[in-house]
Amino acid sequence: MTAADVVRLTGVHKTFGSGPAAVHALAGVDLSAAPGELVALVGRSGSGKTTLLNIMGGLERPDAGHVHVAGQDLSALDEEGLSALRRDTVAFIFQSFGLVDELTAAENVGLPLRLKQWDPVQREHRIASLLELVGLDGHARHRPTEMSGGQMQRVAIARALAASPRLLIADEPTGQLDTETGLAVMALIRAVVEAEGMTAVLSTHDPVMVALADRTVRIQDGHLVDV
Amino acid sequence: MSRFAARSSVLARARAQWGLLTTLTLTLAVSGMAVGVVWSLVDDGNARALMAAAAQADSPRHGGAVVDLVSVTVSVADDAASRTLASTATAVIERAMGDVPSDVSVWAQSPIYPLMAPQPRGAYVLDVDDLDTHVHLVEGRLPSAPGGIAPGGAIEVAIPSPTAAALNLGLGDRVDLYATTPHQGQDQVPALTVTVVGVVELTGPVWQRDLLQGAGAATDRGWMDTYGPLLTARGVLVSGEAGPTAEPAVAAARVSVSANPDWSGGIDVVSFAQRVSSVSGQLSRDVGDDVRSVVVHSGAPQFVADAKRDLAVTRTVVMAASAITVALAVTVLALAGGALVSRRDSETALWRTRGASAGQLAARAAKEAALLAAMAAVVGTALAIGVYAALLRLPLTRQAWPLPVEAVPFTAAGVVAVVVGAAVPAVTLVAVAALASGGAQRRSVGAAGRAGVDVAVVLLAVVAGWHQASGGEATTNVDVVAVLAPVLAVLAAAAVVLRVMPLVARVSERVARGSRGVVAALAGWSLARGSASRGAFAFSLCAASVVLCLVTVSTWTASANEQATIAVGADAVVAAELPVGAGASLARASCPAVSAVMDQPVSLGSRATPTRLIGIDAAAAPVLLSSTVPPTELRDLATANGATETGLPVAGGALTVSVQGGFDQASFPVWGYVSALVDAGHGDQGVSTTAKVPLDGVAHTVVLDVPDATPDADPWTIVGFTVTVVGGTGDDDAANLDIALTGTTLLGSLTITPHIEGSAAATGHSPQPWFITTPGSRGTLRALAASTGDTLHIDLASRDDELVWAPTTLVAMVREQPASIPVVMAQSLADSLGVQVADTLQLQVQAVPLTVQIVAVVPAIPSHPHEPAMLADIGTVWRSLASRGVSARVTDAWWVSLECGGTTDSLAAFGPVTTVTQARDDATHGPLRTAAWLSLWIAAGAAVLLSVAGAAVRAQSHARSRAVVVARLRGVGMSRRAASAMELSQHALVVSVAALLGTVAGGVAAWLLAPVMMVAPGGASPNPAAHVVFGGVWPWWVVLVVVAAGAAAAVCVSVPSVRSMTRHAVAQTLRTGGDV
Repeated sequence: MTAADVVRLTGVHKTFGSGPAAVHALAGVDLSAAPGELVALVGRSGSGKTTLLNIMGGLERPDAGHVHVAGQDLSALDEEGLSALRRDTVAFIFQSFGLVDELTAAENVGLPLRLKQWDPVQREHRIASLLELVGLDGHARHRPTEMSGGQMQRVAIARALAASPRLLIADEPTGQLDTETGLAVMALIRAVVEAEGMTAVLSTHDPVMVALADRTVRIQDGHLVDV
Repeated sequence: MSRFAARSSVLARARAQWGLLTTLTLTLAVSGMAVGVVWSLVDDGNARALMAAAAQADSPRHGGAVVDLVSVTVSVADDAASRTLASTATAVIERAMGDVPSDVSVWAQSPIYPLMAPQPRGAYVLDVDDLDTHVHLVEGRLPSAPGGIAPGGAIEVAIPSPTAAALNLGLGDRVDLYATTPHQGQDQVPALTVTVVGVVELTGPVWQRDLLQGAGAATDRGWMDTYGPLLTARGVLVSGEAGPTAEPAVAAARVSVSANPDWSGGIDVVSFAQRVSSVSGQLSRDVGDDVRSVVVHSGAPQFVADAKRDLAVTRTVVMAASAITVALAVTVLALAGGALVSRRDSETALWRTRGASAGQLAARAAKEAALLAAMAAVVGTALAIGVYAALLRLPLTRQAWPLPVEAVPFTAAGVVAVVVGAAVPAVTLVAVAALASGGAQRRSVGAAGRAGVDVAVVLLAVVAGWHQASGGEATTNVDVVAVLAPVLAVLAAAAVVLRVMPLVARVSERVARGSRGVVAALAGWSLARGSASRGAFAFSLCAASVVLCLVTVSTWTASANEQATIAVGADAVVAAELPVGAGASLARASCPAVSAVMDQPVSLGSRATPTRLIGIDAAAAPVLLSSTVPPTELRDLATANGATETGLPVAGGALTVSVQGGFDQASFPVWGYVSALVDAGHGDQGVSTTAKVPLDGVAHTVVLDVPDATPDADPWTIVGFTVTVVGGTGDDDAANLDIALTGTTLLGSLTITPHIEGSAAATGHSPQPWFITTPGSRGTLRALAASTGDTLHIDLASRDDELVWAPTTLVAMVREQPASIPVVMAQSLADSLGVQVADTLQLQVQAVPLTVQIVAVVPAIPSHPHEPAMLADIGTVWRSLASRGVSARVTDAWWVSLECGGTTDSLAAFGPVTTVTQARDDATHGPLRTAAWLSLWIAAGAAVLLSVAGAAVRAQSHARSRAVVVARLRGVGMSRRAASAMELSQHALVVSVAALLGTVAGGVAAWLLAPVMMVAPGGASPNPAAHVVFGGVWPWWVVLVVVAAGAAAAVCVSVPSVRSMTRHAVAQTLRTGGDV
């Protein structure tokens, strides 16, 4: 764990509910990832993978512990600060793609750029290059409902890369894809992480994905094991 | 589905969906309230309107006595019946009055008793209550009461001075009245002997009840000259203080009972009119077979009939407003129902997978709907009663319906319950349809609409508008088409808006694509592609309804003002018969623009419909009619008057006239008299006539009394003379007349240039020729007039026997009368006659044929906008009539301008005054129209409220469907504030675009429909035709502010839903899929 780590979690606790019904999703988790590192997070369903990723990305706040992303202590950020973090530093790739159905592929990709008030011309260039990067340059005007799962996840990847985040968080990005498509998507993520030099933390059950990761972390009952 | 599960699910759902359910309940309540209030306006409002209208008609300002006075005149032939006639008739009238407070007056008249005299003469005795208030004592005293029996058995009477003069009676004279006509040689015992104790003048219009209408004597009543009334004290013919059972001393042959009910307290005027209508039959039954005649006069039945016609128009407007409200309610409820069904899709699917049948689910939906409806009915009823009571207390309402607000209109409760209750089967049907289609139904509704339903609605609206524009008969029934036309119009407007929305969406998409930020872009995209346009129909319908209702109120008010203005004629109308030359006094009390006005029926060929000829001083017309007839149309009205007309200026007073005339072959006495035709200014005219003088060759001096001109007014002008010769001369006779006119108040000299039979052979030295005509001549009479100084010399020559017996009139006018009188004609009359400007027509005015020439055609003639009428210069008409031998004054009323001052009060001294202001007030805020504008206000208010309710429904429904999207956007870095701004922008965009388009579409609908919805009092088409008014009562900017305020409220009401959605934990939303 070094000062240059893009993400660093120290003693993170998260509990849902209270009393006897309380669920301890995370119980003192420590984790860090260096720049350009692809970390795979594995574990059974309900083990706390998504909670960990959400806390890492500022979508949820831990009950205890510290989270630093790109040098920022997330506990010091308010809602607007966390939004800015997600807009400028962190990008998510969801299992369910997280695309806006009303928008085309290009428009979905352009959302982070609009949030950053990019110039429209530069924005369109960036969108085109990203779509080309993920192999969807011919699908710019297609809406999510007109695309396959793999294509949608590629759009999601392109959107995640749009604002050049330092940390890419992917929650089972291949969970809704068949093996072949999942492999292609995983390869793409591996490629863009290397190409863009960003840090990636992703959760997965797929052993192929795990094989592509620089490091694998297992989470079990709220604890990290086999680090 | 167990009972427990069902109950627990209902409660759980109620907790989870309380916002939507509350909105739905409030929507139902507001809808029910609006319809309930409108219904109250129809029900309770109608009764109030009639009562208030009756009270208003009873007020002196509206000449109430004419409207509500009930007078009955009963004549009997049999003596037995006559003894109790007065009490019987009085009892019937009092029964008809019911519990309406009224002053009952009973006059009983004896039979006409013959008087002993050389020729057949008769007199009658009259028993009048409140005699002293109806007479002015000239000499003596009034008959003493009770009984009025003078010493010697004679009945004391007071007699009118004309009767005294005609019968040569004085105080103390005794008159025997006989039972039958005495025959020579027969001794006749007087039936009644009266003693004259007083001579009186009969005052006031009340004497119209008298047999001779207060004339005192009538020598033209057939075979017997009649004199009277011989006025007795109360109790002679009517059972007086002796008690109701005591028979009067003298039998009554004719009884006049009048009752003046007091309508000011609010009475059931319909029942009253029905009772009055039955008086005639009741009297015939009660008096028996001896009734000779029963005459009942009452304005009440006609008043009620007219009021019912007016109320039918009001009811139509109220029902139309109600229909709009119902349409709005249904639309918003459909929106809410759709949202609710959508909200429950997953739950419904779950229940179905667990085995619940469609029937069970529908029954559950019905139960829930019934529960909501019950709550809404309670709230709605309370609101309806409260709002209606508040409306009744508005200043304008209290002014129109100044009746106490005591009874709560509980009928509203029933209506609210029915309206709200109708939602139960509606919701059930929606639920069943949704279950049956699995959601496809909702999607297909829009498609079906786009497939042609909207086009059909537009077509229906066009047809209804066209039907409305084509007019119809005024009835007492509600016009169904007029009720449906406005609601179809607003539905069509909203349907058109839906057609336009995609175009707006395209624009918004283009804007979104090119924008830099995310908030506006996503709002635009959502509108263009997503379900954001849901509710646009409701919002545009509400906006269109607001615009239509408020513009209709403005248009109605403006049209009513126009109609009132033209119906009155001028700023103020004084209907009294004023002395000659009253125009100067009126001008001092108001403005110089004052005119005497003639208003007479004329015959126009074989037309069965009577035509009115309105005469007005052409000089004052442009000012007096400035708001009703363009001055350019009046320009040629006075062209027939020529450049100047001086006549003979005279200041009034006594002029001395010396008349000397003689006939060559007169075998009988020949008499003559002279009349001066006086132009008294302001179009008024007067005729002053000398006494008859014998034309026996000797000069006779007589006085010509010209009414005094007002001191500071312009001198009057003698514009002509008439010389009437009465007597018998022989065939082929000739006569000469010398008439010299002198007097201190004569301001000019009399010079008459000879002129015969209209030829312009002027030979005199007068600066203006005078013209002699011999109206009525068979062509054998020739007249030649010449003047020397102040002497008019007329030579007459007659062939055959034209001068024998028949009076002969010669008319000398200051100038030749035009061949035709210029008239301005009403468009409707011109159309029906097929005539146009410059055409000439023949009229019969007072049986005198006159030729008129049309100089202009206008939409309507002031004071008679709904009748075939024409307008002419009163002076020209009068002089034309005078030149044809009919020189009587033609002034019927006075029109006065109030532009430079003057009020009703300043004119009140002249007589009954009607002002445009009063008429406008009555027309716009009169009791019979109040419900109309109130209902339109309510519909507009309900539209605003329902648009807010619809917005709340939409916001809640939309929040749920947008939760996941917003969570995803927040996941990529959108701040909560930006997310809220995006959602609110999207909501505002839909609301504002729909409201804006609805406003425009509603404006177009109002432009097309509002004018054709207008009706004149009585239900006729307005004349002048109504034009849409976007200002007026509700200025256009106020209408826009109301719409904008509604839209703003609709946006504001979405804030809680949006805030709730954006505050929800992003991660949880993403996990749960958006169930917030």
